[in-house]
Amino acid sequence: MKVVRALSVLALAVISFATAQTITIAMVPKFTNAQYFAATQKGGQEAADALGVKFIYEGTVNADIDGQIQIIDSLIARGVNALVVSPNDPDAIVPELKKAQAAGIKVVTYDADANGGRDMFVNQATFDSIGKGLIDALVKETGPKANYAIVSAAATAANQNAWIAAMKAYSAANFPDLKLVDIQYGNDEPQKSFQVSQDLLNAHPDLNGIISPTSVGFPAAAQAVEQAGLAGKVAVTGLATPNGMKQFVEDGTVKTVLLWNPIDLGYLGVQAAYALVKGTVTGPGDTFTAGRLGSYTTQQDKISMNILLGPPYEFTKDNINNFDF
Amino acid sequence: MSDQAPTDAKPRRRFTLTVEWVLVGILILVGAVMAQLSPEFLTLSNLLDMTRFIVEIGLLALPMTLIIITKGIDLSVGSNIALSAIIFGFAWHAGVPLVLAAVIGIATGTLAGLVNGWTVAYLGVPPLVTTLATFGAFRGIALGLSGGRGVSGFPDWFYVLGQGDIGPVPVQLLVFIVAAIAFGVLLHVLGYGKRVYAIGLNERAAKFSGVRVRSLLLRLYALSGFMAGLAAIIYVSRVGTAKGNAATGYELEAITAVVLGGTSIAGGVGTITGTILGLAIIISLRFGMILGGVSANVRSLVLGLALIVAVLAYGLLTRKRT
Amino acid sequence: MIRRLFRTSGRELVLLAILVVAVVYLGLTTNFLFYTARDGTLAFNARTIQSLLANSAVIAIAAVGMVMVIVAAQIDISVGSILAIAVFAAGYLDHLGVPPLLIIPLTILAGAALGAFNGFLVAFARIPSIIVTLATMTVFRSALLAVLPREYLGNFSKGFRALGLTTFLGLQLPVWVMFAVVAAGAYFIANTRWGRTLYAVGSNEEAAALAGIRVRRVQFMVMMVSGAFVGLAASFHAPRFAQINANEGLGFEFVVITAVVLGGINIFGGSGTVLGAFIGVLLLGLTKTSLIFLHLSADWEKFFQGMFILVAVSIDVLRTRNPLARTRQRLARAAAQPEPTAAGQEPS
Repeated sequence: MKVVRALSVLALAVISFATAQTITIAMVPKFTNAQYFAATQKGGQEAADALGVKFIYEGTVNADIDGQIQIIDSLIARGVNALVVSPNDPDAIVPELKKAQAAGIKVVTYDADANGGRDMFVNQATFDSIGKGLIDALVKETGPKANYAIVSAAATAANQNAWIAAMKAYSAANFPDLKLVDIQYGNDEPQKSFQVSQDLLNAHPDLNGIISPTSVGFPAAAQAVEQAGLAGKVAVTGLATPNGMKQFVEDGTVKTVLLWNPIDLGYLGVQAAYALVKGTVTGPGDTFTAGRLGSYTTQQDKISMNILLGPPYEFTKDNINNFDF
Repeated sequence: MSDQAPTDAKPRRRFTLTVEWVLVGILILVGAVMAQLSPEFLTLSNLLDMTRFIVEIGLLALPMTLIIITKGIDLSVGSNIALSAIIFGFAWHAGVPLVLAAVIGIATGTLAGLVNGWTVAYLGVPPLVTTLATFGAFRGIALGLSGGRGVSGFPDWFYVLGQGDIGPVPVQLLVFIVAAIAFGVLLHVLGYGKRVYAIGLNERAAKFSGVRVRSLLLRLYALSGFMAGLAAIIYVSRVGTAKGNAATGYELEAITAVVLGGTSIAGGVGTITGTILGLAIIISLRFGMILGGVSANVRSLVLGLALIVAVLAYGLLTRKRT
Repeated sequence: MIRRLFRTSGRELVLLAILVVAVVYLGLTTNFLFYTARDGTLAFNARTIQSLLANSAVIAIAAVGMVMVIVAAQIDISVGSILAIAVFAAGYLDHLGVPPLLIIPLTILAGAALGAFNGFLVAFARIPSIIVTLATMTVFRSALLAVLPREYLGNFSKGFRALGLTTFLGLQLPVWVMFAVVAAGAYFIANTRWGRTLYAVGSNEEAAALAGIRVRRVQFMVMMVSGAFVGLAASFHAPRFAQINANEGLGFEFVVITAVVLGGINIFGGSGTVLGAFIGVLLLGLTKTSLIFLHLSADWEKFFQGMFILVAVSIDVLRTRNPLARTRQRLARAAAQPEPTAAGQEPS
């Protein structure tokens, strides 16, 4: 017992010594096996290098909320200064984030939000702007009188559901003849997303378009359309990284890919975490400089505050080859 | 699966003792390595804190030990947690008082366990097939009923169960300790335990010597369901939300802990102490490596190899004795 | 005649009946089979059947191996992780410029090597296969992830993609491979000496050993063959997709085993047919697809799959409660010399 206590005192001393030296910011993505999150890691690392802070990137291979909670718990024990997290579940993550806050750690959510326990949400684009962008991209191809379906990630994914709600609201207000026939979930698994897209095409021969607001579902849906020989007849649009979509844009299956820049998102997440740790930002309305991205002012929301990366970006045949992420 | 089981009981008892000392040795070794890997590992606060992540699996592993001793298996327990959690959450959401809702949740788990038990014991369907079916069915009901929606926003006092401490000890660890003692008594002190071993060693002989095999199995699988229900309440309290995707993959983690703890899948061999040591080794390995910044892939590689090495070692131990 | 057929292949008939009823029901109530085209005429929805078969191919090919494993009283829950490795092996071989027709045998070899590792631990280290493959399920996948530089791979060559996408008589190449493998597997397991030894080892290991069968070698081989089938499946699975991903095959073991169990295999070994497993695969695939046609949430998929097993198994139990069948079974079991063909066809 004495030994354990002595060791724990020693360990604490080591931690406090280490943290007095450098600031450590840890980024925890939803999962690591996607180009999208690899791009946010790249941005996070870039910001950390620019700021001279230690950067840890650690996540589970697959979307796994249990594993994510354990990773955050270990980061708390390791005494990081700030967490930049993309939660797999907006509710289940909350107790662990609150625990981090209680330990004096600044918590930033990025890519997806949590329903509590965070100091700031770095929002990649407003839900309304994504909803509008996707519906507009669809209507540009199908015309305002059309049937479309959605291939989403998991039914529990918070931002997916928010985008779907925004799409519904925008199309109801502007395109009354646009009909959403079905929503299916591919759980961010390529194989499953592919199969549900295929089944949607088969079950609805009068389908005019598919929207997939997920970087795993979108290429899978495009592939299903291509393999069914329906390229040009069924429009496909959604959110994904340009690298995953280049071949479909080049062969004409996909006309428009929507996304923000995930490198910038990761970069901004780490910059925001640094501003919180340094005390540059303490509440809504504060302004900080996020390196090469310029200055941001925080907005109040019902949990704490958020900042907005900017409007989503449209990738088309003309510009998609200029990007590599 | 078809390994012949030695029939006399005496050398077995000595063998299980050996396995437990081996496990203690492994645990000490793991602790030492993890302490090297991360200075935070061997602190009292960490050692206690990390048990939060194994208690629910531990609650499943206790009855699983008994089930595997009878040559059975229960693959449905992870899905059962999700089902019980959803029913518990919905009941509370519909206005049922929280404590009563918890009782309903645990009752749901028990009922689900009864379905398994009845199918295994009275319909005569092999446990692997039965619980493979209910593994899908229970999860399917949980997902289908909830449709991806979850229930959260429980009152603060409820979170004490999964997030609170009594002194330095996590509340759910105390629940596990009580449960472990109860199962230890059940398996190693009471006559019930002897009958469980008897079924595992030779079901037909047990039947002839007066063991009511069917009713015992029915109650055993119901008990497994009850523990899944209890684990569901703790799970919801720990993560603050009841969802259909809760506890995915827990069944395999529980089985791994039981087998690592020296319980033989061929039936008739195993102890509660072994299972507890198995759980302790798993969580120390896993959490220690997370703390040490070991990558996720290497972590699962080490856990898988540990299982192979442990079972190989048990094989060598038994062969020497017989 | 019909009675005899029902007794010997009852499970297959029950499953086939469910399959037919489901297809007819879907055909009548949804546009599963026919749909009204834009010009108002009724058109045949061929794509539904095409994609159902194409998506079943990888499962069915692996299921043939699994039938052999379970008939020999073993189990393999590492097939999902073997699939992941084999899929990446195929992908990287294509990146190295290996011609597609050479990728197939190399991928089979990769699968067989992993299966042989399982087989060694089962047959010679004497660890129960459920434990071995529970461990290697984790070991294989994490080893793959540890060595992969990136967890996804794409940009495959045209020739490689053709393996997955070439169509012949309206069906994709993987579907024809599936038909061939199922037919060959069904013939092999029921009609060759080697196939019958699987039933002998699975129904009674000691008796089989006494009859001169080298039991351990059979157990080793069967685990290796299971890996080889997964490798074969992978070589036609990978080229179907623009990009492959490291979580390929997660939960695959449950799908394959569920299909095989649904197909009426005895989980303790000694009986089971390839045809039953194949119908099981189709029924599972149909469940997934039909939910979308019936506008039900895909969340119910697992529920229906679980219920199918329970219903199928219960029907079996009721069917074999026929006292005559029971006596025959008992006689078959009590026979000192196991009669493999009888044991193989007698459902238990």
